Order: sequence, then C-alpha cells, then structure tokens
Amino acid sequence: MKDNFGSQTAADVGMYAQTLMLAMTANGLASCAQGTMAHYPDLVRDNFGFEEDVKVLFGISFGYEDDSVAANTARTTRAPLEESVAFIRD
Amino acid sequence: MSELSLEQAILTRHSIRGFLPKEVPDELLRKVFELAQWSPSGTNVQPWQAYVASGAALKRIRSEFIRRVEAKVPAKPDLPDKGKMGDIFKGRRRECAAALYSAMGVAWEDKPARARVGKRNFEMFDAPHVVFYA
Repeated sequence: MKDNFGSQTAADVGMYAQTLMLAMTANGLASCAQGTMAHYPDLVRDNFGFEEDVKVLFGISFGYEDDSVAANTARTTRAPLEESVAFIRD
Repeated sequence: MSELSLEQAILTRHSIRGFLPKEVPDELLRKVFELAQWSPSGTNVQPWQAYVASGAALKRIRSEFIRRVEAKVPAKPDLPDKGKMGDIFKGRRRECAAALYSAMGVAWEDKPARARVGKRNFEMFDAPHVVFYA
C-alpha cells in the first residue's frame, strides 16, 4: 500500500487476504499467509518494478497441497471466545 | 461451484507448508483473484495491490530470498511491529511453533533443525505461486 495510508488501509488488505484464502479453499487450493515475505521489501519492489513509496505488507504462498509433507499435519487451536470478544447490551 | 459451504471453508482453511510443483491453471487463478476483488474496504477505496509471481520470476525471487537468509541478511520490513508482543500473544505463538515442530518431529532443543524449519518460509514451501501484498 502507498505509505500515505495507515492502519485502516492495512486492515482492508487483511480482509482481502482472508477472502482470497477462503476462495482458494473453496476451489481446492491451499495457501499459507506469511509475514516473512515482507522481510526484504526491496527484493519484491525490484522484481515487480514498483516504487519505494509502495510498502510491502505480507505474502501468501499458494498452490496444491502436498499431503505427503509432515508439516501439513500440524493444526493450531483458537482461544475461547471470552478472550477475544466482548459483548455489551446495557 | 465448489461443494464446500462457507462454514466448511472457514473451518478447513489452514496454513499449508508443503506444495506440489503443479501450477494453478490460469482460469482458476483469475477466478479466485476476481472473487477477492469483492472484499470490503473503507469507502470502497480498494487499496490492495497484489503482485503474483510464478515460473521463472518466482524461481528468481525465491533464490534471492534464500541467498539472503543463508547470508543472515537482517530482515528490513517496511512496516515493522512496534514494541514487544504481550505474554498472551507470545504464548499463542509458542503453541503454534510447538504444533509445527511436533508434526515435523523436531525437538525444541534442536536449534539447527528449527532453523531449517524457519528457512522453509523463504523457500515458500515449494509453492508454484506467491502473491505479495503492497
């Protein structure tokens, strides 16, 4: 994103990323969102030829799952709702 | 159309860290990116810029990532995190790493093996495509 944008814009790109990954899942594709793809932004800029004022946020590797790879059996859990969501009414 | 319900897609999506060399056909590639275009954004600005690398371009980018990691070039992200991560988040990150090491049969104490696991990120887990968001 252009560096005159801030965290609101980064949040928009995050919403996009989940939409993309769900669309991939629904179509039989596998993905891995990776913060590490933002480690060397100059390399990405050089290869695609975009300007210094466009900032790299993250990357997503994707394709078809190799189900013979042990790493693909790893699963994470999620925190209980109470740790993440607050509901108020009154 | 896919057979998966939205709920199934949400619950089955997870990070894949090992891909087949097979490329995604162009038509399907365009379809998933067309769908993602319908994502919400504040005042419909659609600020995302996607840069997709495949084939020889991906090979070139991957080799340069690996070269830098092997040369221990420090990461220099455009938008680094500000300050330290809190304990709750650190704990979750540790659990995530533990699940991965356990699946791969890597012991916590085995630093060289953990470094090899980390390096897989920069190999993009052998994926035939990578998309960068900028």
